[in-house]
Amino acid sequence: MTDMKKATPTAAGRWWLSMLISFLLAYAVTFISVWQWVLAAGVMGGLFSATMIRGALFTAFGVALAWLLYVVVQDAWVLLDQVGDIILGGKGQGGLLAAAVVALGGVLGGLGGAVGSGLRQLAGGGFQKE
Amino acid sequence: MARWKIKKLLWVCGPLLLAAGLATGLSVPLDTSMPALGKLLFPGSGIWTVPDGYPDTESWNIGAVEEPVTVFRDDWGVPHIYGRRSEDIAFAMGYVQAQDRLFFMDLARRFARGQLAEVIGPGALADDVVSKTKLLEHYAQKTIDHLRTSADAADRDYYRYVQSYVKGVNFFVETHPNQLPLEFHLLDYTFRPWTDLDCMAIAYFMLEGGPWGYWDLDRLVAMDAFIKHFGPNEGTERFQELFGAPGEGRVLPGQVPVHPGYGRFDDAKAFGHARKAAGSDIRTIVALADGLKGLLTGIEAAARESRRLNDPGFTGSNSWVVHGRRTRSGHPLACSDSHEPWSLPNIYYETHAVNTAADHNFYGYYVAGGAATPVDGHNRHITWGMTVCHWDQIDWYYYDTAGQGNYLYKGRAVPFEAPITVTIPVRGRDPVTHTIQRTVHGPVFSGLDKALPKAFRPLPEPFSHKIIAARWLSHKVVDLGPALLGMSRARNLDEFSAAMRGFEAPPNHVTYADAQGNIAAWSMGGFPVRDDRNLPAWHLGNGAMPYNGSAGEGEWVDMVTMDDLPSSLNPDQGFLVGANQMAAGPDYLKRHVGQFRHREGYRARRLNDLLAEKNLTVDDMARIHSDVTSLRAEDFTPHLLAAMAGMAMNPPEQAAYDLLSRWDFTMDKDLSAPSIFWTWIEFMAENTFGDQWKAMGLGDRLLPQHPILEKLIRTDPASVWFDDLTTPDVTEDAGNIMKTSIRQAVAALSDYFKTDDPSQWRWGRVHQLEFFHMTGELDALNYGPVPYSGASNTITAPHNKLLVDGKLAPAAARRGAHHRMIVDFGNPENSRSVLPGGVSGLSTLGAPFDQFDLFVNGEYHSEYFTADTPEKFLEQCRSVTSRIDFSPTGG
Repeated sequence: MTDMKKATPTAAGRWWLSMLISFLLAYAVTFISVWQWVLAAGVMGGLFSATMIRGALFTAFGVALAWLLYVVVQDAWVLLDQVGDIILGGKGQGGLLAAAVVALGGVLGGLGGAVGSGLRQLAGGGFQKE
Repeated sequence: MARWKIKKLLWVCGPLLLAAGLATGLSVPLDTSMPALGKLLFPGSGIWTVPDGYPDTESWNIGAVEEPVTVFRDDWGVPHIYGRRSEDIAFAMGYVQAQDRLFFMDLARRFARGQLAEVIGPGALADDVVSKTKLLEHYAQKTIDHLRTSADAADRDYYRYVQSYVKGVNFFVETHPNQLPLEFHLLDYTFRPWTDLDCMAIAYFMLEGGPWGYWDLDRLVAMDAFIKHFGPNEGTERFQELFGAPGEGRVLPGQVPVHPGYGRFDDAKAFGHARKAAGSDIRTIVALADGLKGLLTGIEAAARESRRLNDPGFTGSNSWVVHGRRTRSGHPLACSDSHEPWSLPNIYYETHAVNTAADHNFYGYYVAGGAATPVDGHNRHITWGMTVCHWDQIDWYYYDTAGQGNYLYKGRAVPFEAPITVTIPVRGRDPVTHTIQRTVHGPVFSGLDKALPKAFRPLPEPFSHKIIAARWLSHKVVDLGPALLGMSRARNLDEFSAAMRGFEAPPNHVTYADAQGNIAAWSMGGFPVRDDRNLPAWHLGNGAMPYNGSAGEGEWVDMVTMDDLPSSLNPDQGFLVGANQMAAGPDYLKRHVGQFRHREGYRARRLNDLLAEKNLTVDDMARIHSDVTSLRAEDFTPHLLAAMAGMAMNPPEQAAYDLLSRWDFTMDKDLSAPSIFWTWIEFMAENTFGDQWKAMGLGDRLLPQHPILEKLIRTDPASVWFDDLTTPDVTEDAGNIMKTSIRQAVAALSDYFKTDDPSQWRWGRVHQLEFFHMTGELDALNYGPVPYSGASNTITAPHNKLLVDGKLAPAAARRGAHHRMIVDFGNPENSRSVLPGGVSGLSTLGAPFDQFDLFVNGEYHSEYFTADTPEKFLEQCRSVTSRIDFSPTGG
């Protein structure tokens, strides 16, 4: 409880940084056509979180937000519907497909974020109770 | 290490392993022909790079053009190209075709060159083996070599033109490296640079589409079945009763030839001629038939050949020209609508190309990838359209082997020609090496099992020692490209006919009109004269059946070329019609007119009826393009009504009778009579021939055409064909079968529509059109199905079948017009076109560029043809959707 109290101001001060870094890096990764780098975006974002859970949550949110923004900016709903029909079967599945893509981005970002914050703790020597 | 660190490390390893597992899972292809989901779906790659429209403007400064070229896209996305050199225009055409049709072009070249398995996998290997064996790629390369070194200025001119086109395609690809169409991402491969060989291979692929076939083999197998079933003499007689005798000039009833100057056929003499078969001949035919069945079974392993074999010979193209004597303007009108299996993207590509320095203003249709060579179209002076004609340009030969590496030819053992060895890449597998043997006539098809033992079968005994090879007219250098380019630039009849001399293949009726008031037609393509002396008595001759190559049968001793092919110029009737019917009447070279494969002639008859009017206008032409009156229905319905009048009818049958009695024979999607008639005619054909075909062990191939059935009903109602073999105690006649068939039809329709009220059996509910994506797999990219008027024998000619195994199970019509064009020499601005699917092959573009609504509603779009300068185009065009400027380097 004492540790948590101590950690709170620090963690609270960094959650937006975790999210911002992962958001910016995840969006930047969309320009290099190698999606696996989104894990690195998550890891980098996670480095700014004091706990693995927070790292996972905030970077998941950051990456998902970046991909959601990408999807909205691309405005490719005709294409998404066609691909949704091909992969999932049935008309009008573009929204579901987009949601699945964004969710998967979140999962990947979150896993990267958990790893990043864990590495931060290993490197920094601190151990934040979960 | 401190315990907490170990504990933490383990905590970190969890998400790390999960992330690694998920990343790996999303990076692994789903199967050999599908990409990994991550690569396909995740932002920054895959589907997100698919282009979804045209850039408003593009400007390129390049060395590939010598003069400026400007491309505008109109409100339908149709490119209008303005340049001062034909090579520069070809470059721009390559660029815009790549922009619109990159996937189509790539798949087309792979079909042509036998490279499908490289991207699709082992499932396409049989198709590749057959394509390679047809030597399309081989002779495409020979043609390129010929063009490159030819002394003929037209050839060299065309070669430069092709090279510029190729540069245009590759320039687009190089400058848009991450903008591949969706299909590339779904199939997970990339585009390989375009070559002149790709262009020419596609041209050969188009050449092969109509004339290549296995009818000769099918006919022999069918005649063998007839002989076994009926005995030698009656079998031969019955076969010829249904399929005629080409050497005797007997053709299908109801034929109105393209060219009116060669006499009219007498329907009373149509078919029915018999020749006798001798005993020794029968032994030969039986042995041959068993072997050929084995070959055909093997060929069916290739999906494209299977479709060709089992859905044979559908053609529906129309083209016609009307003389000024019959038009309101006093100037000629010309129309064309080519028919192919409907596919997306459309096989044709629509373009307006203007060479402002040479006064060439051409609007026409091209095959994307085919080197900017038009298939039909018009300029200010002339126009032409084409429909397939049925000169037989392919023969099959069989030989005895004569020891290793030899075969018996004219009684002597001779070695095979130099073999051609090809390597076929296969996705996910080792490449396959295939050696193509060749006889003096052409490539050998009987050894395909050696290249692909799991797909093809060796020939069965006692035929396993035979060699089977094909001789095709286009197994040589073909100068079609220079001919078509020359035709598109012609300014009068003389220039047009001079350019057309190189048009040896594929066989087509070419209809022509010009601004000077002429109309003309030629049945082009040419055909060989065979040495039919010393044939066995059963052989129909004239290339209709396989020849004994070892005995020297069926050698090509002469060619019938343009000067001897039937033609017409300004006939008294004031119009000319090409609709896949017979080329010429009985006065033309009799032994050659009785080709087997001409179409039933309903469309040609209907067009002849409609064009006999006067004061015809462009609106009349549009009405005729969409005409859905069925002469098949008009021929058969009186027989059906007469039979029904004599039967005790239940209420739905009586209601069906009433509907048919009042029907005007239009296959309108909102009427019910067409459903009744079409279901009945399919039952009628099945009930007449199906039992006999089954008894003879024949499949659905080579079923008699409908005019024969109608003639049998009219002239021989007690024919053996009407007797139902499943009721040995009763001998049925035509009337019995008509009654049985209408009862079955009414029952099937009641069952399908879930109502006994025939007024609810709308044709549009069982007759719908659908454009399928060219892969045949990506249904999400299809258009349709939508209710559609017409039938395969009407001028609109959509093609579908209602019955499957005696049940009503209508499939969508998958074949019909691929484009429609009306040319008005009285007012060129009034010329109009429609291209269902539109010029863009990008699935993301959709309406309004796809022109589907126009097509389905029988409408057209403006061509802006009179806009022969960029300035005029900008004045006339309602909405310029894109502009591309190409300038020479330093210009």
